[in-house]
Amino acid sequence: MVKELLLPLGLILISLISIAQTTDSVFRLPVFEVIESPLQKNLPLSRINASQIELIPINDLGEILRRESNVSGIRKGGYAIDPIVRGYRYSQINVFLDDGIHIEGGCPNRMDPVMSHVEPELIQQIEIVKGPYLLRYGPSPSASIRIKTRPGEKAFKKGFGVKSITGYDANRNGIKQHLSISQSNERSFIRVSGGIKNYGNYTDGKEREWKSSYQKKDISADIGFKAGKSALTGFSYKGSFGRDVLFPALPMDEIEDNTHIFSGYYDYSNPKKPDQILSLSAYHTRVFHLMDNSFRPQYNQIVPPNTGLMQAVASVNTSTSGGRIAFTHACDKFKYSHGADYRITKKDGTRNMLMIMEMDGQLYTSGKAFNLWKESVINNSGVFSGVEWGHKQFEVSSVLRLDLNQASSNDTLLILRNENTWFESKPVDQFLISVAVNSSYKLSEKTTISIGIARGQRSGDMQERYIKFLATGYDRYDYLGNPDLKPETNFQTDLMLTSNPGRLNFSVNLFRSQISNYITGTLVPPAVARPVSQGAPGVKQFNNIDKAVLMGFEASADFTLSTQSGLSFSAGYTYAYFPEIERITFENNQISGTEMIKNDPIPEIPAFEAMLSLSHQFVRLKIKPVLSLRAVADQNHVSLAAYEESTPAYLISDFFVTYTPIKQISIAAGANNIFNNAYYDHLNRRVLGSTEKLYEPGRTLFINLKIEF
Amino acid sequence: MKQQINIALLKRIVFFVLAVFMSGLTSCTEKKPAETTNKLKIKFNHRVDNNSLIFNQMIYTNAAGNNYEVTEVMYFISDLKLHHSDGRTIQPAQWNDIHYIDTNIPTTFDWIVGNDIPTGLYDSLTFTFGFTQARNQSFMFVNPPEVNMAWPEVLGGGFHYLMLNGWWKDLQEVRRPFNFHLGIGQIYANNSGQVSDITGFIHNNFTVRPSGERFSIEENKDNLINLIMHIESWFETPVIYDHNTFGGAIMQKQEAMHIAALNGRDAFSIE
Repeated sequence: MVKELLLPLGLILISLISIAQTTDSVFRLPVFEVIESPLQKNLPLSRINASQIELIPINDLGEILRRESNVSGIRKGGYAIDPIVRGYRYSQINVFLDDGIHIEGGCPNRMDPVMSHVEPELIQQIEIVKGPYLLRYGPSPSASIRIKTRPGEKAFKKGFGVKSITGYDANRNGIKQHLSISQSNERSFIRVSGGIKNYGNYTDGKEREWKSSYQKKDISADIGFKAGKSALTGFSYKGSFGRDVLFPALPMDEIEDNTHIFSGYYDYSNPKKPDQILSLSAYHTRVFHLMDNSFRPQYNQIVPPNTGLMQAVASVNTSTSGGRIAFTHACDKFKYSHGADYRITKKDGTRNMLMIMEMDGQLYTSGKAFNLWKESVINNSGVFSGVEWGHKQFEVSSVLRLDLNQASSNDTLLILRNENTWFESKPVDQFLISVAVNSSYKLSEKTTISIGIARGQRSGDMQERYIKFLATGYDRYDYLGNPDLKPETNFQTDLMLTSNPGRLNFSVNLFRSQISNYITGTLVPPAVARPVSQGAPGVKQFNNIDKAVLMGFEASADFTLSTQSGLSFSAGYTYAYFPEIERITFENNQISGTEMIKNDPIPEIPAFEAMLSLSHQFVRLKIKPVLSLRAVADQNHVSLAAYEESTPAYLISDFFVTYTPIKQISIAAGANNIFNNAYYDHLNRRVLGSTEKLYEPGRTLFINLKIEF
Repeated sequence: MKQQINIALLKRIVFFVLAVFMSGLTSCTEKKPAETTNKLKIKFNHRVDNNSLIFNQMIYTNAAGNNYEVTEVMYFISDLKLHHSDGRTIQPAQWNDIHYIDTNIPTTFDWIVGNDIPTGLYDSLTFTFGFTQARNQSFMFVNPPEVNMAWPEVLGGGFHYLMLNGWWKDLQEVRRPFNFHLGIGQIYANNSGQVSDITGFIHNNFTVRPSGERFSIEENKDNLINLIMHIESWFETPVIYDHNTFGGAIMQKQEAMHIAALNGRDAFSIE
């Protein structure tokens, strides 16, 4: 009963505070920062700095992103949460490192979304752009997440340095240790780092244990050289290695994942004209991903209603290579930016299945190998050009991006049925046009109104074009790629109001997005294709849906109570629907027909959520307690066409204290989910073989230690 | 003055934008009613001597004189065709052309064959018992219950066409189990019956034209056909099958499966 009251009370409290803040008209906002880069001004942008994540108990970058307003994530296990930004997902979000380093994950079930290949301890900063506005680092159809790992200017000024981060998570009985050693002078630096993580299963608020353990190791090295004061050259290697990462919501677990990221860059700025900057970069990334069901009962014992054993193993190799050149310069009141980039992505993988049966007293083993991808290749060549202009209170920036996307695969699979071709791999070239215009007008010294209008376009990704019969979505269906997919096009508008009239910063962002040729799965008749994955009720093929609409808002406020105290609030909501979509109807577990549904919600859209955080710095004691509340409303706006189920609301409270006895040492200790609530998020996947959702961890006591000198 | 104008302008902009956004939020889901169709549903029945099959009771005697009982029946049918009186052949199961029937799972007794069947009088229907060679692919089904019908790869692969399981009393009146299973048969060198001696495979699927009256499909109606499997027919006409001759397990006995394939052709009727 107390728990049931906490949520509405929390929501009311948060709402009242936000109203009070609005009426006080004293705002300061950390969520939407205006950044300095000319072409990125006035974007709907969130930033997360390294200092925000070093001392909190997080397992991967996806967990960090879920703390941002209107950013959520799909949980399938104890690791690798797949981010959802404003309801955009997967390849609708351009996730990249630094100056456009892209990684193609290996797992068709998205066990290893891009962000899971980079350890949080290597992060300098994360930028989230909620819209198709960041066009200088590849096609950005609906959102961008830029993970900055490159050491900054201060890497050249430290001499010998050591940074150690140690953490213990009592819920998972997990320990992590990351160590970084660096040596630098004014002209060069070298940094070598590595870490280990060994986490067990977590328990939820009902004290149930979920098979979610994982082990990770990473190693990295960075070197940089300065030639004079105007040129910088750097090289970097990052290796990430996962073992026995369990995913109770997926049909298999990650047995081995090896990621290698090689990159180099060269930046030059004209000493006489600092506005002239040339940037060159290149990279190569490789991922090997191996998964199987050896941790599942059906691997070595008969699980009714099965009468035999089913063993499955899949291995995938991917690689991505690319390069980028960019040049910025200024002329009078105009600032220009031009550039080009290229990316080639390759993917190849197979799945082997074994069925072991006892019949008439004899043991029989049957096996079959399937291609998941067969030497699939996507080339993307892009050019971009941008200009910014400002006059008095008015500023405008625009970027145009053109891409040539070329895809091919050596698939021999051909699916023909009644003179219809369902799958045939032929080379496809697509020309993409993306454009973004952002403008702002200063209503007063402290208040700015901005508007962004953009068209972002993307081609189908490796999965959407070429995957063959794997359950990659939330609905358990096996998915079949579609080489003939049309590009998906997002038309988006953002209206932003920011103000900082004193001790309170606030920002409100309204957005509306209309996506044409939205790429999603549609059911394939069993007569055409039957599922290959255990538990899949049928096969869906990626297809273009005529139209999808997403709209909503983010609001944020940060109130400085005193020089030592701060209160921050944020909230976000997305309302998304298909104006028209086909729904399959069932009778006796058989398909009995179809019907058209209008205004049906898009599945897997996060519920309305609000966050409140209160902190106070006790200067003399050198401690800083932080209390945060996260209230998430129930999600009843669910897809009828996808037979999606609604999700109840929840309220979570976290508390931790940081203690900094000396400048070089910081200790953080506290508890997440203090009241040990049993809850799950709307985006959490269902546990395999049941209709139950995967629950979030219960109370998590933790202690983290950071030493840096 | 300038600040007042700005605030007024701001209010108008915010109001306008909110109005546009909120108008979208008020939209609600609508369903367009499903179109009326000429639906065909097949209902499966299982009988012995034209009476409903009673499971797990040793009350039946086949033509060879074996007393027997049935514990379960599982089978596949595919490639259903309707033969219209005007000469057309209709393949109605465009969505799902393979159906699995399992006497342990009553929901499998109903097969919604199609929703848009041409109306009129039909002379007959035909189907493949099991699968044709091209259709019978290993790992075609990976989920229960169908996956449990898998036929070992080494014995030809694919899936069982039929599992008819039960008990019979042998010549010594000992109650023994029989697994009357039909699938891909094997040819053994020297009739050894050893897996290592397999030299070829025989696909035992066959086409069934059930006996019965002509039937009609009417417009905007749920049309129903009862398809009856006569269990006793598997053991007689044209060949009398004796459990004492072939024993309980016949997966590796092509001669027995061949008899089953011959007898199964007239094991169905429609009502």
